[in-house]
Amino acid sequence: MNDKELLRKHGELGNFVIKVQHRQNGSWQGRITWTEKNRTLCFRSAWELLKLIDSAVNTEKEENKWLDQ
Amino acid sequence: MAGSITNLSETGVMLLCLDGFLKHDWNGRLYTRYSAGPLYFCGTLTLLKIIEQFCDQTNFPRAALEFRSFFPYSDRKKIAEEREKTKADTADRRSTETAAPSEKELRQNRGELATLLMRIQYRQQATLQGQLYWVEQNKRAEFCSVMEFLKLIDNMSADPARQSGVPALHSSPAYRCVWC
Repeated sequence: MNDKELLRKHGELGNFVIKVQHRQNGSWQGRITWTEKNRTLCFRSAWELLKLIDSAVNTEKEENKWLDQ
Repeated sequence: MAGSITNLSETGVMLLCLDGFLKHDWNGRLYTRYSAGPLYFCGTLTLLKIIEQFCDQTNFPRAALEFRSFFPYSDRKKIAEEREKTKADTADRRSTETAAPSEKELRQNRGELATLLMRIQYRQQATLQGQLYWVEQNKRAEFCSVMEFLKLIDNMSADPARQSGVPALHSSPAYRCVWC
């Protein structure tokens, strides 16, 4: 499968491009791009990666939380 | 990470009762010295969220790094105020610690499939470090990241005897995940 075909695949809740650059400290480090919002961040652990994906798919909830404050 | 988990009243020590293994994920209860009752979770991600929230509330162990987010939090002052509020809540909780269950009461709880004692020792490198003690099997393990913790928990599910369907506890109305 080439890059174009890969990028045509879409998830229902969100789409992310993840690049794992290192495997240090018993975890993963790399870069994640949230394709819908075109935002890229570096993650320092698998836990941070999980939290980033989780917060992104719960965008509405997260935004409301900070708007309420 | 020397030393074994012996004292449940120690800060950062939790009792993890695993009750079911559904859709390739664990369900169960988490007991701490600061919560009067069990904290139910449906899935390992929820469990990790509860653990982190507990660490934030008790302020132990303190996180060495601030987590990154896709969402820019422009109003830093309000976030700082929220943190102060959390600290105040924790102080209140500590003052009412007498209402929390004793170590003896906590130790009586058992998971339907497995019981684990867990100690979170550090929160460095944007992850968790700590120890696990599997009560039934008398096995000890240390983890230096959430990924290692997930692997340890996942390895426990390898035993086919642990995939013996849904325990009756799950159909109980009291069994509600604290996060869902």
